[in-house]
Amino acid sequence: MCDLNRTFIWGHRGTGLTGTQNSFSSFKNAVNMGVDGIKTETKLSKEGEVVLSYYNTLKIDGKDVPIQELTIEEIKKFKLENNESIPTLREVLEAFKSYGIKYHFDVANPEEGIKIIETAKEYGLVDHIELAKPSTRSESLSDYFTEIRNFDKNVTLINSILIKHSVIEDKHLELEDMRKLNIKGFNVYYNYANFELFKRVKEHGFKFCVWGVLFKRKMQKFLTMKYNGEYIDAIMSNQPERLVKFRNEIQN
Amino acid sequence: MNLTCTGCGEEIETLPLQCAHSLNKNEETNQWECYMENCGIISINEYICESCCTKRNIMKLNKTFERLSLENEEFKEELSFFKKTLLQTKIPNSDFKFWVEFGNGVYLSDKGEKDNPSVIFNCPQKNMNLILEGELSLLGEYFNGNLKIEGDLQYALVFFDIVKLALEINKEIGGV
Repeated sequence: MCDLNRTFIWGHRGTGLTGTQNSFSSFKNAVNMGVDGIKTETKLSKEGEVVLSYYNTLKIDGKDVPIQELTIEEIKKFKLENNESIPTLREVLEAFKSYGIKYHFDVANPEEGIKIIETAKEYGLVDHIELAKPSTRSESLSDYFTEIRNFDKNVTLINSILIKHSVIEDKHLELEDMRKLNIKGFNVYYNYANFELFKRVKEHGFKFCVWGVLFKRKMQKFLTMKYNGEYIDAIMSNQPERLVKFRNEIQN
Repeated sequence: MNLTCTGCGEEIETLPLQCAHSLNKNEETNQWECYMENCGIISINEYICESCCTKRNIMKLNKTFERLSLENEEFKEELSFFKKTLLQTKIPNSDFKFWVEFGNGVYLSDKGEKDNPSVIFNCPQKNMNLILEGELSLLGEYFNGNLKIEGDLQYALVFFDIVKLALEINKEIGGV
C-alpha cells in the first residue's frame, strides 16, 4: 500500500468519473496516467470466472439479470457505454503484468475473494492484490475475512470503515480482529478522514488509505498530511490524473 | 380571516417557527412585510406556507450553485473534471421534483423530471433542503432510511461532495 514514503495512488475503476468506469480502456488510461494501482469491484459469472463490474445485474432485453446467473459468453455480449465488453480479471492481469501495478478489490463474499486469489496465483501476482471489505457492509471483520484468511495466510486484507460512522471511534476500528486476521490497514472516506484519525491508525501500526478524494483543495490537504515524517499511505480517487500530478509535485 | 398560501393556494394552519418574527411596514410600498429566514423579505400578500417555502429554498440553493458554476473559477474548474451526470430528486407524497445536471464545467437545475438519470434520490422535502444546506449528512440520511438512492451510490456521494464544495466556496466569498 505504500511506496518509499510516497502516497500510493489508486485509480478508482480506472480513470474514475472521466471515462467509462471498469472498462479495459479506462484501466489502460489510468495506468498510462501513472497510477500505482487500480481499485475496483468484482463479480462472479455462472461458471465462477471473475469479472470486473460494480453492478450486480446487467440489463438484458429490458430485464435486470444477476451477473452470477450469466455465463462469460453472455456477459461478454453486454456492451458498456463505450461499446467495450466487461473485462475479466484474467484479461486485466494478463494485459498489465509487465507494469508492476497493484489491484485493490472490494469483495462481496468469501467465495469471490478466494476466486480472485486463485486467479492471481495463476499469474504469480498474489502479492500485487489487496482484498477489501466494502465500506457499505456492516458485517464484522471475522465474519467477512476468516474464510479468506484461512485460504491464504499472506494475501493483503483491508478494512474499509463503514461510511455510516462519521465520527470514527476505536470500537469502529475492530482492532482485535484486525490483528487476529492480519489485516493490513484501513480505507477511510475522505469526508471523515482527519489528522487525528491518521495519527491514531499509524500508532496502532496500520496503513491509512483515504478514498473518494475529489477537488484540488482536498487532494492537496491529504498529500501534505504527515505524521512522524510519513505521508498518508494511499489515496483512491475518481480523478487519478490530477492526483498523480499533485503527488509528484508535492512529494518529489 | 384565513391566511392562504400564495404558492399552492392551501390554507395555512400553522406558521413555520422562523416566520413572521419580524413584521414591518414598508413606508415606501406602504405594505406590511415579513422577514422569513429562508425567503428573505416578502410582502404579506405573497405569504407562502412552509412547504412552498422549503421548495423555494431548495431551488434558491440550486440557483446559488448554478450561479457559482458560472462565476467562480474554482467551482467551474472542478465541475469540468466530471462528465455530465444527471441526478433526479423525487419527494414522497408530493408532486415536487427537481433535477440537477453537473459536469463539463456546469451545474444546472430546475423543477420537474428528466429522462435517464444516473441516480435518483427519494427524500422528504425538509431533509433534502437540509442536505443541500449542509445541515444534514447525505450518508446519515441514507443510513437512517430517510433518503433512498436508486443507481450507483458513488454519483450520490459525488453530488454531495459538489454541494459541500459549493457551500464552502460560497461561504469563503461571502455569498448568501
